[in-house]
Amino acid sequence: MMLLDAVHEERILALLRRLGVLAVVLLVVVAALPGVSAQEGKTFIFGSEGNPVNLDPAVVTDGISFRVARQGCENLLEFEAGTTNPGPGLARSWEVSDDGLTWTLQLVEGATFHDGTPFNAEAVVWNFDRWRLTDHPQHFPEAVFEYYEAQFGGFDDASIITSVEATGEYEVTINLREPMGAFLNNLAMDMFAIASPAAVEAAGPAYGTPEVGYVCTGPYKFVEWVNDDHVTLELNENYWGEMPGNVSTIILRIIPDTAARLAALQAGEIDAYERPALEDIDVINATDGLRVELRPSFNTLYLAFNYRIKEFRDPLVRKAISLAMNRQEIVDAFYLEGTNVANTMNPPSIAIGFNGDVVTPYDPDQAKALLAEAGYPDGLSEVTVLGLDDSGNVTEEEVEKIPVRLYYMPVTRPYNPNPEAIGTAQVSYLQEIGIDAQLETIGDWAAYLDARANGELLGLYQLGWTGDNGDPDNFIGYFFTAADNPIPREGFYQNAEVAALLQRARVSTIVEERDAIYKQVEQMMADNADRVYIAHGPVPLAFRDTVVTYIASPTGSERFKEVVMK
Amino acid sequence: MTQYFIRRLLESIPVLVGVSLLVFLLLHLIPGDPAVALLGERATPERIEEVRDQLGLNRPLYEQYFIWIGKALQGDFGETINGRIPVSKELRNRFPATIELAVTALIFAVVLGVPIGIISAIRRNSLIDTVSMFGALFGVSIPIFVLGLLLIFFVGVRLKLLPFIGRLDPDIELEKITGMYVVDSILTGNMKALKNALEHLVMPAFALSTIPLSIIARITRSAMLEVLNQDYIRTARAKGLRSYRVVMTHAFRNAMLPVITIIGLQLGALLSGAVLTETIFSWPGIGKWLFEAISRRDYPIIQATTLLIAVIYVAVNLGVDLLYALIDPRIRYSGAE
Amino acid sequence: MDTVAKPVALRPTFREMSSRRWESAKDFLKRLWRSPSARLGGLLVIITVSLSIAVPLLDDYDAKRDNNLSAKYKPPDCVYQWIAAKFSDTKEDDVAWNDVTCDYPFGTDINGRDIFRRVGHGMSVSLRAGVFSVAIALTVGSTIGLVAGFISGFLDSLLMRIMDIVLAFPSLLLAIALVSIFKEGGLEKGMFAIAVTQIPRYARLARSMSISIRNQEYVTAARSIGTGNGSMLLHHVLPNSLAPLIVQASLGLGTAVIETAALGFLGLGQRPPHPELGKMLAESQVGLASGKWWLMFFPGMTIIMIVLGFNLLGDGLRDVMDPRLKK
Repeated sequence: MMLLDAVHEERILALLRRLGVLAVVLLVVVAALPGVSAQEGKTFIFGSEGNPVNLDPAVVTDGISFRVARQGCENLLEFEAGTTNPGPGLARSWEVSDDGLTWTLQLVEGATFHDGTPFNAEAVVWNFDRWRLTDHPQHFPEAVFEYYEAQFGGFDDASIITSVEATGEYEVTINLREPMGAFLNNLAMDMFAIASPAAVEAAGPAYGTPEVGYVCTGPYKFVEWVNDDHVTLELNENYWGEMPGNVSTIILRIIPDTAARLAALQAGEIDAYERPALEDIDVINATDGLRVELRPSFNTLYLAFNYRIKEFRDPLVRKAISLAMNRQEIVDAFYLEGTNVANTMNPPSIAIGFNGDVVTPYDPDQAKALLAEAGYPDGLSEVTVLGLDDSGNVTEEEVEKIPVRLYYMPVTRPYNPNPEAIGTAQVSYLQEIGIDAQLETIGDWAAYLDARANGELLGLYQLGWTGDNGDPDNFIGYFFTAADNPIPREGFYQNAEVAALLQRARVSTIVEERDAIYKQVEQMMADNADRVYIAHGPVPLAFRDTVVTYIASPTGSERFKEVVMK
Repeated sequence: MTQYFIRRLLESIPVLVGVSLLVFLLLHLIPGDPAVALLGERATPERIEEVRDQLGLNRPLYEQYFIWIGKALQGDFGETINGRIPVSKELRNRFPATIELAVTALIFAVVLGVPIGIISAIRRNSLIDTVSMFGALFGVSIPIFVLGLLLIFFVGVRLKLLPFIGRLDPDIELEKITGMYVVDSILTGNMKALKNALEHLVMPAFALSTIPLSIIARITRSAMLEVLNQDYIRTARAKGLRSYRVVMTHAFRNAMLPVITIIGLQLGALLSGAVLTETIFSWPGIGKWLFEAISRRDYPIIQATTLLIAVIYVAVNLGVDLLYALIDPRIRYSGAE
Repeated sequence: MDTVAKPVALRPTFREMSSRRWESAKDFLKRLWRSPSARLGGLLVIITVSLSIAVPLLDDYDAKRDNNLSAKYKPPDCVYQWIAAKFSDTKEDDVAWNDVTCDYPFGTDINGRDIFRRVGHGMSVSLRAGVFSVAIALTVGSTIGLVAGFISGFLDSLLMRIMDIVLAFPSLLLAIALVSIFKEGGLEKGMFAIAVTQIPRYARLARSMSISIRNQEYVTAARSIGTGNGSMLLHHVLPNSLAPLIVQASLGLGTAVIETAALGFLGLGQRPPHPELGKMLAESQVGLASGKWWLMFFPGMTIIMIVLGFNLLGDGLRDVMDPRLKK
């Protein structure tokens, strides 16, 4: 049986080379430790920066929800700890037909959901149908299955997955419309975890809310979720799989304030938290019993243009703005050591598709010259908003004049440790070349994302991305594959050539071809300064010495069953 | 007395109606379509219409108001947009947290403020008086968020004396009866939880109490001074009654009238301060909830909490008035002025 | 009681009025000087107000250009450096007076911006916001109050019930709600919102003054000789209500400055990168654990100074101007 075809084997090797080194080291450390088992019943308290939105991973997009749901909900494939390398999960093994269109997966036997119902092929089929079919009774109209649509091309007839069948009690066959380079990586993404059909049917739209939580197959059962306070998860005594760690109770304490999270760590109220402020890293490392570890960099901070702004449709203006950004200074001031200045969407640590030849220098003088060449020798303080027609195309009609705006994110993210300070720096760089931009933001994170999704951030706006599955299709591909029409979510970016190339890379299963296409797209987009990339940074994690082992994953999808505590 | 009671009660009805109208209208002025907020950006126009219908957003404004207020009176405030949790259920968790914080702060303020005021009045122009009155002025001049941050970092981080996050350590079990953890731990005889809950309460309650504390101290002092200058007190003193008895029996009781009023009025300041205090100390109460709800346009939460706070405020003022009338009979017979 | 209800003649001549006013003003200042809290408060107010006027005039500050990442988080130098060196145990820390630099007397922030400069401009902004919101509240509130109290009847009840409704909301919560209604604008929204929440205080005060003056004999007399309502309000009621309103305004300024800072602290005030004290305090939180005390200390002390100044002055004014308000 061909478990993995050559394509995947090679990709996985590449991934391991680039990303897995740390993980391997950590695994060796774990192996060297004296035997520990879950029976010891340790409590692992993690400082969460906010409330989960919903614990049904299929309908959310935020990392906080995923972090909780991941501890209890498992996928057919799971990333091997510390890598973006998909390995066995609820599927023991898998094979693909020669045309790349039919995948057959063998499922584990003997797993049960937390509600006691059995895990089998029927349950898997039910989950896929629920995500895929808009008329499925549990494809709740009020919920948005955003990731399914993004990763599998759409719902119903638009879905790349055309059918999912139970071809045995523990065998599932998935049929695709076209081959898919990143199929296995996709299956290992948090949102495609298998939930208990009975539980979702019983709870209805309340599934995933604090009343119900999640009901899956994983090592930890949902116990309690009190908003603004904590979420508690408890060891699933009937867990089918292995437990490398020794944590029996997980508490996620919700502490939105960064300083308060640090204080909680110092006071011993939490064992770990993500993203300590840069200012505090030295403090943590200097404190006995506390330490910082780095999650390998697998992200990008960018500054996007909204193409409804007439002036930003001119490549000269975009290039001027790109040249005006002193990326190195931003990286030095706001990021950790080991951060790369970003010139492309795909980060250097990605398996394929990173184009190291693209370099954008910092050159304010040339930027000024380009701006003058574009017809703005005195700079810019006002820009023109263009109209939209019924089908969402940007028209020639000039709707209104607005000030130049630079939107900064209302929250810090792994790729953006300090949005406002970085925004302040960016505004000053723009001033340098004569662009008088206003610094703005919108409400909270959800409101900001909403505005971005609707193309309402009329100006320049900060945003970024952390790869979910290690594949460039989930990096640059996530953003621009649909660019044959203007994408409101991407500031009405439209480029049919880019879209066609990315589509080709998506359905190709030949690594070299995909790698070349992604590099070509990066070069094309850089030549036109379609978007301004700023930084790829590693993400700090802070620990007390109660935590012996924590395997950081590049995608941020750590499983606490791997955690070993003193 | 009954007549006065009924009149005051009737007078507060238009205020409450106005409050509910204002809350309702404010929410309709906040930009953003609730239906869109509820459905997310991928909703189709048809679906948005459908939800607008369901939410009654297509009805005339006055009708919407009556439907909303009708449900609110039955304790139904709808579901939160973010997470779809019934607002009333969440309120039951959060409201006691805020009340516990505010009441503790008020207790601090009264227990410390009244004696300070009395001593300052008796020892007028002494060093104690000068220091405590300047302290009181300083107390109203230092913003809660400055004081809160100072407390966290000196008492919490540097000295590690007290916890400053949330209401209870997560590993401590407590059966929730009233939702006020101090009360609950007393009711269930859980001493460990009581100690822990009190430790969590001390700093935020103290930070929140500074303004009312200062005001109460000042008001007590001036009320006492005024009473001490009254003829009958002077007479009593001249008669040779021992001064503490004079103070306690005559002066104190009369001086309490304005103090009671001011205590009632401080509730508003406490609820305002709660937004800041709860944010700084990660206290899961309604102030913080409301602030966050506003920034993400979660309108059912905003409506419910602002209405609740306003109603409490009106009710407390009514209670203060009645108490006042009970103590001072002159009031109930005088006119509206 | 003299400033409140002294007038004896029905229509004093202008000369009489002005000389009497000058006399009472001199007398007033004399008594004010005797109050230690007014002296200290007045001094603080004069310092903060003159700095707030001077700083924007003397220093042309463009916040949008202010960014110097190479000077990120520099501790205060200047006098502080010298003092710190004097108290330090190690010889190396010792700095000769001549070597003391004065680039960042208050240190720098995360963007390497000079906090001294930003506190100066931030103070000016906070004070301006406070003055504007109090001015709006004072004008609107006292107009409502004077008219309501003087005319009485239905309009009075209506206006006062509206004031009750506004008072039924804790002021900061109402300000937050009002701020969130408007999409555009930064500081102006906050100023307006704080003004709205303060209106009822002035309205109530002015109304009670208005009622007590309405029933004074000289007013009744003036009315009997046919003086109109408008003229009466302008010539008799308003001048006699001024004292308590001024006291209230001085105290209200302190509150307004705190609330502006609170809105800024919650991220609802001045739009960055423009300096504002509350916003600076919110940003300072991140540096406290690592000992960057200057981020918080200087903006915090500045707010306290401003507010303390107005509170002390208001307190002194109250003692001198209107003993009745002591209740």
